[in-house]
Amino acid sequence: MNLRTLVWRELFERKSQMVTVFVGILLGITTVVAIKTITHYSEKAVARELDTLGANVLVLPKSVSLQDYYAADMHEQYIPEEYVLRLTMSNLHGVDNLSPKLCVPVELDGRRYTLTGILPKSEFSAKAAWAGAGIFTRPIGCGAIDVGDSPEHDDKRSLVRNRVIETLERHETLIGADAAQALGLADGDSVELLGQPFSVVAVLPTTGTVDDSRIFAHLHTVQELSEHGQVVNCIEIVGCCKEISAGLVDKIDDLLPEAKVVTVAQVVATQAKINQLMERLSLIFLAIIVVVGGAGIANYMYANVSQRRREIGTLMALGAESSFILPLFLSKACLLGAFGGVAGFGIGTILAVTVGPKLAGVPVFPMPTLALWAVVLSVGIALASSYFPARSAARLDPCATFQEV
Amino acid sequence: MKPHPTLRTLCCLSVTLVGSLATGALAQTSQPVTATTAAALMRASARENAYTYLFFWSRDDQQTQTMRQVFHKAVRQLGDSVHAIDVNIADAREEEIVDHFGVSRAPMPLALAVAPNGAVTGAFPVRFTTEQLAQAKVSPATQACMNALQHRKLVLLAIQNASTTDRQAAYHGASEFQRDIRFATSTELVTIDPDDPAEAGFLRRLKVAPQTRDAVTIVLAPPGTPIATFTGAVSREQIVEKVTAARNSCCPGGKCGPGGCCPGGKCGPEGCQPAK
Repeated sequence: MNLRTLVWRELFERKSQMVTVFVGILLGITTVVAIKTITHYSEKAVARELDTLGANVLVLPKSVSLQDYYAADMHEQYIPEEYVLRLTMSNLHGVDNLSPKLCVPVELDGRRYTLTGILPKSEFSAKAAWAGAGIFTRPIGCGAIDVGDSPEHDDKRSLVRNRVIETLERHETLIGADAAQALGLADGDSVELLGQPFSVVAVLPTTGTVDDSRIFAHLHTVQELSEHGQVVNCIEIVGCCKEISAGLVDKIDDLLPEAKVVTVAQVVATQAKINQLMERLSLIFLAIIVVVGGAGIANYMYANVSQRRREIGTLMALGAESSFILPLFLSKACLLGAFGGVAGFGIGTILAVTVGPKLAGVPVFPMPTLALWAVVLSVGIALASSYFPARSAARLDPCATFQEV
Repeated sequence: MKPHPTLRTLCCLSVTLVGSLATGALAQTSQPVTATTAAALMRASARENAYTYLFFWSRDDQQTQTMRQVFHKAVRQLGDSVHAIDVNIADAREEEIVDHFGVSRAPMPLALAVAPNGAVTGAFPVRFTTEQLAQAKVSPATQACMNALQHRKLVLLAIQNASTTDRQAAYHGASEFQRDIRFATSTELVTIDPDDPAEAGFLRRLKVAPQTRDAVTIVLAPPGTPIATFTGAVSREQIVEKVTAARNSCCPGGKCGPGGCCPGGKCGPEGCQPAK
């Protein structure tokens, strides 16, 4: 009988105890892997959002929390669309671009997507020049200067970066990269949304954000088809940073007292706080694994060594060295840790990928690098906690064990 | 056969009288015109070189009633050069004007001041004052500029008269730019006499001293942003350079913002970095 057979038999000798320890390791690793995966993609989404989000001020319904904005605006709270024209026709300096949005769920090929109604710039940009002679004293904004280019050159794909496009016909739609791939749609195809045919004018480039799984159409069409009336979920504003620091947000607040006006900096700060909280949670769970899991394994191993004193003594009397006994127990711990780590990574990843998007509002994907981390962590904890019981077993005096018989 | 001069004068007088009576009905500044539509009133106003003030409303609530009083008070103060009308946006007869201005989803009540050339020179949603409505009557050059800007055109404002220096060179440069194939269809050339007292306020807004002795050329981009000011002679190339720079500029009025503010490049600590 060699070491491997002994370890294997020993592992299944006391099944209930082994299962208890295994489940302890599994739960700990599962939790940490799930939290770490969700946090990672949430942080990436925030960073990407900062880079891609042209808007830096958001107008939301009063009752909506900032997290709802990240949950693809599916908060079912609304503000009147007329706010767009109030902003456009106001004398506020530093409002460069506006992007009102209304999100409704649609089902295509048995899968749920977010249909987002957007208002092309052509619907309201001319009204920006209605604000009287005061417009001639406005500072040059943050964005590109409109030099009267023909809308024929309007690139619909710019939506992902600029948050607004020049023109969009009532029957046209733009498809996010993931949605287009899942639905097998390309430029020029047709798709039926809420019972009405739409032509796909562009498949948007991948952004890595929730926009990838969205479908965009004209706001007024979405309002009509979803029977929501003249409302929107939020208005994204590209505000000039200089004007924001000069109190633009307060001025918008005064103009739209029934709405909540926040800067993206606030949203990002809130999201960053959530990420920090998640990070701390994962550290707490890590500590719990180390302390409780480690103590559990140590206890299990001490009990194991104590119960196996006679067998250990017999083995040693038959000529087994300490260098044979020590690996016997450490190998058992190592196997428990490795299985726990692999299974914990698997379940944690499945949990993150399925529950993560609902919790954090961002797409979550498996992180293979965490597999190594999970196995190393669980094996490390198992080995460290088993070392002292294994060492005490290896140092047993066979004579003393026989005297106890 | 030519008509007798007296007969011709009589005819002219009667036409004028009939015209005055007809437009008099439209020009009831304190009472809403019910005999015609807003679109018809606007056409009549344009012919008379008069302003049209439109009061759009949807629900006859307290706010609408209060603002209607303010509106008609302001219109009375502005006198005969302004025609006014109330427009119920739900009225099918007013569909033409509601669609023309695209105000079916606008906040109500909404007052619009429309210049004789069709430019909207003031829009006041929900709450406004008589002073604001009075200020919406602007100078002819302002009207011309706003009309062009509302059609998403660049405006080349040539501020000069017979006594300004470099007048011809400045005008030549502006005209050349307007003929440039890249900008021809989207540029409007507007000339202002700096000695015209009616334009003094507009010039001050543009930071140009009224009665300036040098020709000044200003480039305005929609919605009304002055992107370049040239004093004295200017060439087509100089204007093109400024317009191109403005088009490609990064945050000319402030710091870099995340995304969006740096066309064709990426915002960095030093401003716009070219895209790799």
